[in-house]
Amino acid sequence: MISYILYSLKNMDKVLLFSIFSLFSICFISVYAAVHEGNMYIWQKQNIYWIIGIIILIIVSLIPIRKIAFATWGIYLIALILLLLVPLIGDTNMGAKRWINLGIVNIQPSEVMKWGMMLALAYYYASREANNIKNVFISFIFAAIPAGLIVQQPDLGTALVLLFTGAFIILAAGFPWRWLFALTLSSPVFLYILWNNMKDYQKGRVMMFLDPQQDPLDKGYHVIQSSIAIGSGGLFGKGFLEGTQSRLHFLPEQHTDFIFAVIAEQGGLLAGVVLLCLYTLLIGRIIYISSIASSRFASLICIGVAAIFTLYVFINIGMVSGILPVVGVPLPFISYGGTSLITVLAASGLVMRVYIESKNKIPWQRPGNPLS
Amino acid sequence: MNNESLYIKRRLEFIAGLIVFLFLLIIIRAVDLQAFKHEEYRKKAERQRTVQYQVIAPRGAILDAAGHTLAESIRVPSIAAIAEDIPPQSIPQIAKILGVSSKSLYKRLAKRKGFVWLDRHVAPEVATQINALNLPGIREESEWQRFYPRGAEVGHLLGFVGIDGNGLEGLERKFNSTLQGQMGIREVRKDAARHLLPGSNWIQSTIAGEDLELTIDSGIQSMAFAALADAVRDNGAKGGSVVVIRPKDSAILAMVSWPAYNPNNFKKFKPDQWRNRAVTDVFEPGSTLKPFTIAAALESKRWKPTSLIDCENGHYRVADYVIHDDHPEGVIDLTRLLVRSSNIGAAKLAKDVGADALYRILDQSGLTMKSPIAFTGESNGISPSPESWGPVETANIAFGQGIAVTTLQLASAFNVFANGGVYIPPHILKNQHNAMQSLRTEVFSSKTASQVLTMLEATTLRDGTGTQAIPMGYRVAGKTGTAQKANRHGGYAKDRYTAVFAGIVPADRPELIIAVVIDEPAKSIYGGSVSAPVFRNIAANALPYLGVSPAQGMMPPPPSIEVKTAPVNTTDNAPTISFLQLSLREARVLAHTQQIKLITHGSGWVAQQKPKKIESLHPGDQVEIWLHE
Repeated sequence: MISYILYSLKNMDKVLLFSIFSLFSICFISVYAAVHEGNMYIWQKQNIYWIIGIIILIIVSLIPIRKIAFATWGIYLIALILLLLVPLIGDTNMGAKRWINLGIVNIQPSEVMKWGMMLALAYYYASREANNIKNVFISFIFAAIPAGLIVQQPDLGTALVLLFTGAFIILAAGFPWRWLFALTLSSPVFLYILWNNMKDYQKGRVMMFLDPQQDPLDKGYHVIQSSIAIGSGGLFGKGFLEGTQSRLHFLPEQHTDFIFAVIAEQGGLLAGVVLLCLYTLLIGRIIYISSIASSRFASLICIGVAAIFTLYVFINIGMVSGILPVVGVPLPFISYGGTSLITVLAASGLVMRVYIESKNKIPWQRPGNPLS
Repeated sequence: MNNESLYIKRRLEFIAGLIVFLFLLIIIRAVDLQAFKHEEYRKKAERQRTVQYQVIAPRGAILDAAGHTLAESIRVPSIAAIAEDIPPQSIPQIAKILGVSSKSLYKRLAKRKGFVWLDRHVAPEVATQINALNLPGIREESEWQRFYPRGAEVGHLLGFVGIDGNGLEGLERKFNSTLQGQMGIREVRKDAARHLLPGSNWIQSTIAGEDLELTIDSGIQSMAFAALADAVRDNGAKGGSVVVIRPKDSAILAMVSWPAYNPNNFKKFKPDQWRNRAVTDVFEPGSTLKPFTIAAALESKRWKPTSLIDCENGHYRVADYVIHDDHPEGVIDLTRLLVRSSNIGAAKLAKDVGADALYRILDQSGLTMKSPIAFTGESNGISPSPESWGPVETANIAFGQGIAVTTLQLASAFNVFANGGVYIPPHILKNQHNAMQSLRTEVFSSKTASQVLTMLEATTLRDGTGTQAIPMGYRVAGKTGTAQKANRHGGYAKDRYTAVFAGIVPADRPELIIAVVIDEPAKSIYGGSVSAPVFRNIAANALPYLGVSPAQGMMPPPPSIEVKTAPVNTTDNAPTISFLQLSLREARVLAHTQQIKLITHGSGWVAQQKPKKIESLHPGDQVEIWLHE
């Protein structure tokens, strides 16, 4: 047992660890910058979450992928049941029912479902190709049912993350190029037909979602303020702890969803580019690990994790810099928040496990049934 | 590597490319915001977190000649706000503290955007209460409020300052640019909750206004004000003004007008009461102009003080117009002419010297133009040019009709007699003393000046018209004047007079020129009985104050002084104590020093006393006096 643990620890991927540690450093500095005036406990809590998260990363990296495969459908079903319970027993917070109070902890079923669905699709395509209509349709159903439930909460952002993650996995699982080509060309036609069949109030909601600046007091205010913070930062920023917009609280949610604006205001374009380079290193490494994975299931898990990280980063920074609608998506590894941080670290642990298993000569090889 | 893994790899490369593409989109956006639009957003950020507003500089003080403060600026709190930043639900709270209805405050805030004053110059407690609310968008500002320690006495002279620090009347307006200094611009930072943050930067700092040092003597100003107020009340007059000038340099020592107003509270008074009548209002000088006519005659060398002139027993026709004298005289000399104030005599002199010569004297004595000070609203006076003078006009102007002057003009013109014939324009700024010396003009010879001065002194003696102008122990050279006021139709109004007295005291060693104008006195109308006592009142107080001792023996010994030198209860050789000829105030002072009880009847001057002859007085004795005007 101990030799197994030592073996696993010794074979951890140093590049992955380096990129995670670098992101921790940025989180350490920028959450401090966001809360150093009066809310220092937030920064302290975030550091504790990191310690917990790293421990969970290590624990997850010790679990054989086969065991994960074993639990996949259970996780998916539990997540689905919780999602169905949300409308019945969920807590309403800021106009949306997303949480279930389990006494000690609040859990967000949509968050669980994101990982559950990712595992389920990886499992499904571990022994299949996404090259016939039946397979694609069935896998689409796996993603569409939870996405539909999440849209009802309403949480359009998470639903879209779910669908796009599914799309990435299906693409990796051999979705034919010509289908992709045809879909890309025909999607404007589909959207046009959809738009014309929508009622006026629905169109209004979509417009508001796409262009929040129409409503400058609520979500629009957030975007205007974060654009000002980023733009006023310039090439090299205003200096550590010198961000006027964040210090004077013009910047909303600055330690959670809008933390990129704090980084860009104080560190300028330079800090933003450094952060994106770190993300590119991390995600690139995950895709590399996917390519050397010892099974197709493990490989697809990595694709799913990479897809979720990418979508988080893109949607979050796109929203903060005003090119995407405002949806509540955190910046992975950086935004304050225990749930989000621990989940991304757990996912990193999964990828780490895939890397460790790629080193040894375990008999089951790709492709094939992950349980065999 | 088998086909299968190659297949997956191709897809992974595609996915990696897709991810890089998405990240590039973000970087393009970041470059757009932070490199290309940086300046725009920097300015937006700046605008958003700062508010700029103007700050009034501390206004310079106004000081009298001795350095006493006449006007100063005091720091007081005001309540400022950014209208749209105030949460509507807190308006009733604010309104309650400020003592206004929340409805009106709500309306006021709804109408405005940006910086507004909610209330200005509030009590410190109000500011403290507002601060305690700690509301966004509202803030205490310190402002300057003008304070006039001497109140109404200096109201007309100094004027007042509006709430935004501009002088609106009087010297405050005249010397506004000097006093005001330069406005500053201050920038305050605010946070997202629109709380204005403590501390602020000066974008442009204020430059404090300069102090203004006047020639005014606030002691004399007080005396003149009190004397004028008493006279207007006692005579039931409409108003009046007094100007006191120092002969040697024409420095204005006092300038007061009535009706008065308190500049600390100017809004409570009508604009009509704000007028500095001593310079804005003109009146016909009447007989007070006769000394100038006589001076013109003496300058012509054809007349001497002893020259005789026929005063036609009170009736004299010039063209189709008959001139009357109140005190008809026959053939008299020029001194007697002035003493009896003969219009006919003056008219004859003017006819003899001619319009041009008379006009030159009036013009050079400053009676035809405003003073170089150019007070706010100062009048030029009304003086027709000599080319337009016909025989009637010449005759009229000789005794002060058909010409109008201000009190200040009359006072500074009389200074020519005290100054050996030299006119010095009046000034009110201490530092203009030397500038005025260069404007000296010789109007007539010093011989003429001293001759007229002697004649003027005679008018205050014996049967002259100005006997009531004499303060005990001093010699006065002065002239009374009583002029009918012009009506709206170019004629003269019945029963509406201006009573004037202008004089020099002491006559032998001039220290003060005092011009007194009482407008429409109701009881008595004569300059001699209405204005001359004001002159005496001021002189009697101001001369001892200036350290000018009364000359002993010049006049019957003033009782108040005599009494002090002799113990009251010594029976033998006790001096006679008399209240006769004293003013009510002087009688009261005497009674007080002797600790006796005084019963008074009437007003004016003591005409009778009981007991008739007071040999000695003991504390507690009772004296009854009857006053008469």
